[in-house]
Amino acid sequence: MDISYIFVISLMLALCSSQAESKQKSGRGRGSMWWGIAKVGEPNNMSPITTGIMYMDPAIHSTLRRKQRRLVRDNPGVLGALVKGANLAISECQHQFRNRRWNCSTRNFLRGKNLFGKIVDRGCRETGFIYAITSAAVTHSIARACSEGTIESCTCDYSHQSRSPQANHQAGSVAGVRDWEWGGCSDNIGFGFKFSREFVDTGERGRNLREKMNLHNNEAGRAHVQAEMRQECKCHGMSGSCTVKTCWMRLANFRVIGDNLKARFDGATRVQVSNSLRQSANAVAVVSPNAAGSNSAGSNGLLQSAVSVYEDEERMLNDHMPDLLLDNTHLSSKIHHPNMPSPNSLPMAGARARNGRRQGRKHNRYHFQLNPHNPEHKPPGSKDIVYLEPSPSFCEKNLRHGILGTHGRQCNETSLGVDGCGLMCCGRGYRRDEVVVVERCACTFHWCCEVKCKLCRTKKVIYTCL
Amino acid sequence: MDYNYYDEGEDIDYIEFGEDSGGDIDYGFHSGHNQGNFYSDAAAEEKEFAVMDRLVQNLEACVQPSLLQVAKYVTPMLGLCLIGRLLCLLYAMKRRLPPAGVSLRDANSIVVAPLHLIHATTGLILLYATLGQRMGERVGLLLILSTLGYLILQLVRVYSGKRAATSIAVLTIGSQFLYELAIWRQRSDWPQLRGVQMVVNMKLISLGFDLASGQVPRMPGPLAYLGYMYSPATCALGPWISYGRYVECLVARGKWLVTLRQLVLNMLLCLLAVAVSNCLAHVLGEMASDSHFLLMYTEALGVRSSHYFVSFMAQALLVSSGQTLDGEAKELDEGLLGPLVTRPWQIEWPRSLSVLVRSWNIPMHEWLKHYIYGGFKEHNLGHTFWAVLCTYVVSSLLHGMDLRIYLVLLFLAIFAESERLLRRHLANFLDACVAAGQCKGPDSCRSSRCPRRLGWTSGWGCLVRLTNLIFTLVAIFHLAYLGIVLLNETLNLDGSPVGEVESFVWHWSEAGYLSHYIGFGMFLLYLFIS
Repeated sequence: MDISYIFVISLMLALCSSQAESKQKSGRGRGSMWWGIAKVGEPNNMSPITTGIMYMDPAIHSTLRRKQRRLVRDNPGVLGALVKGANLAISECQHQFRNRRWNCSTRNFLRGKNLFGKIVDRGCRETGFIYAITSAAVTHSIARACSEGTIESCTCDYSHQSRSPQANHQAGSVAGVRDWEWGGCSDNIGFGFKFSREFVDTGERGRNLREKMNLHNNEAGRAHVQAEMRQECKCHGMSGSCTVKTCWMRLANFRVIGDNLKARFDGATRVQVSNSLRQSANAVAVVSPNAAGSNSAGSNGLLQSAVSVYEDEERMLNDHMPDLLLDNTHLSSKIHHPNMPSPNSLPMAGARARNGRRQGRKHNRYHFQLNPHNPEHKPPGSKDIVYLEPSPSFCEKNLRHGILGTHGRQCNETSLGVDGCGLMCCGRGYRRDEVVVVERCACTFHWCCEVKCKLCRTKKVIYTCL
Repeated sequence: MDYNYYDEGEDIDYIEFGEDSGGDIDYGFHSGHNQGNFYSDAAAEEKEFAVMDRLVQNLEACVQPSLLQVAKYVTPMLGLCLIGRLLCLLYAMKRRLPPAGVSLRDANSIVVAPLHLIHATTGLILLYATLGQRMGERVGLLLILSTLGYLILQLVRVYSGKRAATSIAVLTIGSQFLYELAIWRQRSDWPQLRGVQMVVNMKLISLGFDLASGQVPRMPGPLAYLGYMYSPATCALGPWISYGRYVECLVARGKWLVTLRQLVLNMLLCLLAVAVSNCLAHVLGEMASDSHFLLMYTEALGVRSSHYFVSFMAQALLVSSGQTLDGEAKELDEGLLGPLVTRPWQIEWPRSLSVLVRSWNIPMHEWLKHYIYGGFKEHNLGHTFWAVLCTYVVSSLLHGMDLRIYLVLLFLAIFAESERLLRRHLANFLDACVAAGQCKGPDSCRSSRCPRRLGWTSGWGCLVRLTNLIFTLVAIFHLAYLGIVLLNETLNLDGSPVGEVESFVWHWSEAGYLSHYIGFGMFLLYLFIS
């Protein structure tokens, strides 16, 4: 105890100034501050959603990075889709995790705070899932808004279609339709995909392990959307000719994408970048179980703060480490500017001239391979969710890490899974309550499309964690 | 030392969080306060939610974009048609052209030439505007083809009479086939141009026959020819019109108010049809997926409504440029919809297959009847059978190289013919109104046992109605069975047809080839009776 205390004090003294600085510079949630726009429309935060006013909105101003603000400004109508997408991500995440200890709780948007709380500061599975599902939701809602015609810069006109096929390739989805590109919006998903890359990945430069993890998970989310969203086109014309072609999205419900991502969450891969970084990665891995509070007897608050300091240090280490170690293609990213122009796909003032030069490097940001932590596992694929450190147990309330604990959560007595009372309540025991609930019953389905039900009163037994 | 240590922690970042964590935290689905509601999501509600959700989602993801695209596509076309009509009217007023219109003899005169020019220009602009990518190249290609057609047409000067017309027809269809075979199999955009070229070919062949028979007294000049081929009302979507009709409607005579009413009605129906074709048919199919017939029917409904969509759009174009069609009584043009390309109500609830075939594409039917079938019969070139066969071959070849269409047309012809023969025999045999064609009125019915004559309540009346109902149901089954063949027009992202597995053969085998048995069974029954 004493030793650790001294250790911490000395560390804190040594790093006091640099800690604040590094927090300012690249807090781990910084790249994801945009999640806050999910709450923009809410009354306690903001004026009602009117696209005209929203640009000036101080809440948006503080939520988005400069480049993101410019993207929103240059693509009128996109903001509504982003808000929709962020909310979609939250509700889907909460649905997927309703039966788990961590139930994807969000807090009200407060300026400068992370929507999902401090859990995002840790590179655990849950964080990976959050990144993947938010990126997926943005792709989904942008693509959808595109086909609905609410985004002005993403229309069905032909100038978009004469765009370079290589751009299509990059998005990977619309390559096959190139020959069929008369009439109809064949590039909605492409636009959503590229916009999501521009917008969501703004803060992530892929320079350290954590940023690579975020990039990978963002990409994974988009890949799932791409795999599930189908654009279909149909020819109309006299006797089988194709004079008029109309296209539409045969949408996979976002629930399907959520389900798929949840499956990937369950089979997520723990990664590290390369051997040279193993030491620091291991250090995190060794210390972090304590930080999770799973071992409450031994866990020490000061030690935990030491851990976070240590992590900061590690991050700084990564930041300053020659890029050669991470990925030799990233030498040039030192001069990377946050206001970087977008790639050719998105219509942006003055951006086109520099496209050619930027294209190569832009692409390379996504060009890295993560190695599994356990060398016997196979390396993560493009759709897999990756994480860096084991998750905390989420049993006890720990506000420093944004963990609410499972006190007062309902559980299922008979289940053996995570929603069962044994696991959910972490062995603390649970309370049994009998309540009378009024519910709809004896529902009959009438063609079409109406369900008629009766109201029944039944006794239910509810189990609540202590 | 426990975890609560941090609740009064010193880190500014977390203070707000600690203070009002109770109200601030959104528990998602696990809020302890609404325990009463928590269990209320019963399974039925899930189902209701699923159906409604699908419909709403469908509305957003499919209906809305489809309608927008169609609106964007059709607005410039309608605009061009109206502009062309207005320009022609202004010119006619300025030059004080006779209100009766231009006669066929004067069609080449210099006074009329600007009218042809207006038609050809607006039509070509329309094609240019709607063909999409590389439109210049495509319009150029079409122009070259129609020039070739004009050269072929000059054969009339060399030969005389029917021989010239027949050779024109053969050459036109043959060259079309050659283009398709040799060159444009490689061109991915050929399916788009094919529809345009098909109408041009039909016009060309009819012009040849009309010239040969003297209905059109003089060979149209190049300008008149171009105006006829690329008249904005018919160049993009068809339908076929005769040269006589074209000249007659060079200056439209319709009333604007009537035009507006018909236009709005046609456009509404057109949008409805595209919504059904793209989205609703599929959703209905998913809802009714327990029965294979319903599935087949709804899928084929998509095909049919796609045809209605194009037909209504063509009707809207016809109405807006004031063009009338051949073969119809002129009073019909003042009707609710204006000139009719298709009669959906007779297709969805057909009296018989042959009525259905006639109502599918009325101008095309007129064309086939008048020029191919009629021409064949006129010369007594053989039995009716050969005339029908020839009509079938010409109609198939006109559609280009599409095996599925050949197949559908073939079976349609066989089934329709056997049904017609059987019903004619039954009508004669029983002296009842069960023939394939509807009696026009109570007096024109030759047979005595007609529900209209006998009254609905009499035994024979009921029986006749029942018989007709059965034939109608059989026709509906045939329709779904054959319509499914044309289904996989839906392209997915990879450019490959969606229903690769669910191709029509699968549907046919699932239905046990029932339609074939019924069709041939009817024929056997007919042979047996006669």
